[in-house]
Amino acid sequence: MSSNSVRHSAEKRSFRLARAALKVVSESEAFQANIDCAVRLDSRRVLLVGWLLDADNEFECFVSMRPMKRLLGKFLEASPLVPCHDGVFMQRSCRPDVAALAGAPDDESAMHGFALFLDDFPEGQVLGIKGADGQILRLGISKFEDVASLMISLAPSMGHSGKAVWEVLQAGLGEHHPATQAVRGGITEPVVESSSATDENRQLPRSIDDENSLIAVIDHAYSINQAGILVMGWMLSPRRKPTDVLLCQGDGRCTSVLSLMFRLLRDDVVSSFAGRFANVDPRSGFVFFVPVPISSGSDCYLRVCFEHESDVLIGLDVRTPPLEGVALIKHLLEKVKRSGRLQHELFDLFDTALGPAFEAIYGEGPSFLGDARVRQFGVPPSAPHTSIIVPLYGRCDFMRFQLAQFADDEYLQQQDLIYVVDDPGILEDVHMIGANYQALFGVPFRVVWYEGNLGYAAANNVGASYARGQKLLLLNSDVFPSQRGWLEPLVRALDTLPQAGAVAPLLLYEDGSVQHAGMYPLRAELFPGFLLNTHPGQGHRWSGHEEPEEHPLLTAACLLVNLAEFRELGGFDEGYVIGDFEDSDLCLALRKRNKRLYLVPEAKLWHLERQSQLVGQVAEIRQLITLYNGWRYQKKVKTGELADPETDQ
Amino acid sequence: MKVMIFSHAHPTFSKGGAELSAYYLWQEINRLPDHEAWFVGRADHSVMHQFSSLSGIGEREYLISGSSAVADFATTILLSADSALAQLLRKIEPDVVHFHHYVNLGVELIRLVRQVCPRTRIVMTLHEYLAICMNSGQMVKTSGRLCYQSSPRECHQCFPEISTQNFFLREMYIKSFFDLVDVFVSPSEFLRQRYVQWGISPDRIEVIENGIPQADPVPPRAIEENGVRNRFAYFGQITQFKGVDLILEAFSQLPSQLQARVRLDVFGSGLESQPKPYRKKVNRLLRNLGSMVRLHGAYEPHEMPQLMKSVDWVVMGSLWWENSPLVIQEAFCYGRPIITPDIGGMAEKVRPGLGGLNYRAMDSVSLSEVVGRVVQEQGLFDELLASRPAFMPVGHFTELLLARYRRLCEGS
Repeated sequence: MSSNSVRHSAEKRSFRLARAALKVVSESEAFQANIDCAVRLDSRRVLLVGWLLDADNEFECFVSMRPMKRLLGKFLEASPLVPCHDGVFMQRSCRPDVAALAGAPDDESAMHGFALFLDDFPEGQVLGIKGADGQILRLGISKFEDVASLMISLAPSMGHSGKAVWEVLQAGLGEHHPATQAVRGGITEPVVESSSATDENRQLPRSIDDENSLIAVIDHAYSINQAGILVMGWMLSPRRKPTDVLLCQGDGRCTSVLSLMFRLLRDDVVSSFAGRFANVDPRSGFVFFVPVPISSGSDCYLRVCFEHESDVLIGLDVRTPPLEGVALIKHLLEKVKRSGRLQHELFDLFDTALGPAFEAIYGEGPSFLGDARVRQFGVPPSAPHTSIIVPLYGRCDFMRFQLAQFADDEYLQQQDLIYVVDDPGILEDVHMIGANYQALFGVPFRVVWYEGNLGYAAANNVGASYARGQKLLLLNSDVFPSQRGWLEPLVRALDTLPQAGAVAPLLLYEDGSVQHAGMYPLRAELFPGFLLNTHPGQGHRWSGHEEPEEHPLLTAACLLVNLAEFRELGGFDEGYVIGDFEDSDLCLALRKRNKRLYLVPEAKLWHLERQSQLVGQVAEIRQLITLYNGWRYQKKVKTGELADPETDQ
Repeated sequence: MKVMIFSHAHPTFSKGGAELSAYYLWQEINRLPDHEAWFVGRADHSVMHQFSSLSGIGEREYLISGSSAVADFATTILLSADSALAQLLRKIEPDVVHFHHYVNLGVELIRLVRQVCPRTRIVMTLHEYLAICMNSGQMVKTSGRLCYQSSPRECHQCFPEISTQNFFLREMYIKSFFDLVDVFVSPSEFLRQRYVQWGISPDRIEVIENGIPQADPVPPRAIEENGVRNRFAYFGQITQFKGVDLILEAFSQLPSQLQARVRLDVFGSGLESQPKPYRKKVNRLLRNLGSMVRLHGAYEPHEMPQLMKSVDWVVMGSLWWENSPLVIQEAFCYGRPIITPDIGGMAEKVRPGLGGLNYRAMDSVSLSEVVGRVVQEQGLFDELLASRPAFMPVGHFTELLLARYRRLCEGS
């Protein structure tokens, strides 16, 4: 961290300190300390948030309760959460702002901040701090604030103390106490990058607490890959509704964001302000994405407009997100998920705010830059006509089980089998299996690997780039033939059926019931708005007919296509996060070219698929990602990039 | 004919029924003119050379190191084209490879044989239900109840930490190797049926009883006229599955006037390696039974005639199906009526009234009643003794197998 940025944070901090109601800064020769915020949580329990500078590593805290002194405990610098005496918890936190204020050395590891939870702290008492040298500092508390004030005053610098506050509240009050929840909702990441805001912007408050016009906190303002800005926060305007909200840049350009705001439930805000207002808007939270390139540290603010009232300005501390790619998407979904009770509105969430943001974050997928490497096991087949691509991720023993089932199938052994290792963690094991088992099973194959985990679509695309055959069989590692001679009927079908673009076998669960016999578009009542896929007949016994039949979609768990066509289409679309819908995407791209899709039940394989994700209503992160992918898929259908599975013939 | 016999263990290190049977077969074939047999017994790495997985310990007698996982019988024995085992196979070029058991060796050896010696016929003797059942191959639920038919779903009920899919993969993997076996040998029809039910085609499994060395009957224990046949013996490992505790319970449930007249001799060891609750249970029963029961510890196969001399009845307590227990053959051979549970291989080999009696499996009260009956019923001992079936001497066993090998090599 540059000293410049520390200064900057310190100034922001001093601004906040000036606004706060209570502040007692006591000084002794040995050290300085302050209580920034004292919050009465209920009739007995209190939370003190403050800092301590230049004290020795070890110090002692006590509450003076005349005539006796109640010792709270000894605290060490950078200690983990300290459970002191019954009902007393302290956590230290990093406070570069304090260090900068005092001109202390720029030391990121210095834990000057503290959050102290006390089960009993009567009015008029004094918190005493005793350094190792015996010097004592007494801090009086003149006024206790409520949780709402804590949220507002801590929000812009939650990264410094918020986590510590949350941890002591969790220890003292429990995870589900409204105050704990309130603080948790606002935690942001510590400042990590330097910022070069102008003086003007720096003067704008990051939070507003004026109950006559607006109470608002900006939790995050993320600059997304030079493509746009994502803003999350909450605002209450108890007296009147804003007529507009504008995102304004330093040069004066403004964009209206009111219609782009997706409103989120914020129970934490409701519980914090329930005492102040009779009616607190449950949907005070918001998230929006504006596709305007705004880089981190830019001058940027929100202008909240009211009729017959002056506008309120809130400064945005635009930052580079602490994470990128899938990790950032998961992180954002975690934040949104806390809102809860959104299941019926998820499509709007993606369509209004998160969809474009995720597209900006994920782009065309994890770009494959490095070189892949290849190792041949066994003697390569002389003239393979089909390349079989099997991506491996997580489990590599599937490879051994597959090879055992591929053995003794002469036709198969003349094909070009390629295992793509999409998981560096299993690379060594894959080589071991190759070395130990290739000769035994007599199936020649290649192993293609690279550094990193590119996901299902990209792994297949990398594999396909090495293909030697004219046909491409996309095969999951958890698919196993139930008998020999399963590939011939698929190849025959692709060669002979009218306009065949892709063919797939019948896939069975391990108990013999149907896993896949063609896919269909689905409008699920549970997730209104989304275009999803369904497997009709799943779980049934197979009726037994063997003739090929046309279907609107096929799964890619085992799918045979023409390599040239696959390449012309650019392979699988790698823009789906982690991976869903790339198979129906491919199918619809083929259908856009007037190709037809066939199920060939004569070929039967086992598919040991785990339970489908979309079971139940729990909005787990992976499920939300699937829904985002569904939103993106539907968008491609809407724009005509893909055939429409619901209408096109 | 050249026969190569693979055994999951060598009798020098362990004396289970399966490895003894394999070893007897090897010795017997080598006694015959025009035939040669090799024995390859799997051994712990600790008794092997550091850099060689194979060790020729005698004329046509080898040890091989390695092991196989119970999960799917994948082996650690090296199987590459230039491995010691592949070289040995190439050198011998056996007409028949006979696997006695697949545990410890691993099922993948079957494919190595098929690959290195494509013309060699492959025979496998099945000893218990390990391919079908993860619970030590006993086909007993982990709850202790008997299991009648396995499936990935039911197996997952017994082992919740192993998924249904993994049980399916295990079965699929094992079967992919079993497909390469020319003929399976089962010592009992019961076990044959279980493997048929599991998926091996009925025409690929034949029943041939395991052979034991030829021996003369031991005359009945000398008793006074009108004396009582009141001495019972248990032979075998003292493990949970063998139900020694059930036998002890049955004896403690005998009416007190009978208790004073009977004696139980337990020949065998293994209690010390059993789980603590089981040890405590057995020890408590032993304390309560006092002098009625005597623990003799381990014995060697050659001691059998001597040990049989002092007893009248042999008792089994097994809590699982069994296959074809050696002790039944031995009881028939030496001439002692045997009392067994009425299930599986035991019920098949010991039909009530023909060389022995059955009691309701897992039911100590039922065993207690049978014990009471055989002590009190005059003439029953002689009747059962006279009606006992013939045992399978290893010479005859070998002839049967050689005939089968010959037919196999001739293409049927």
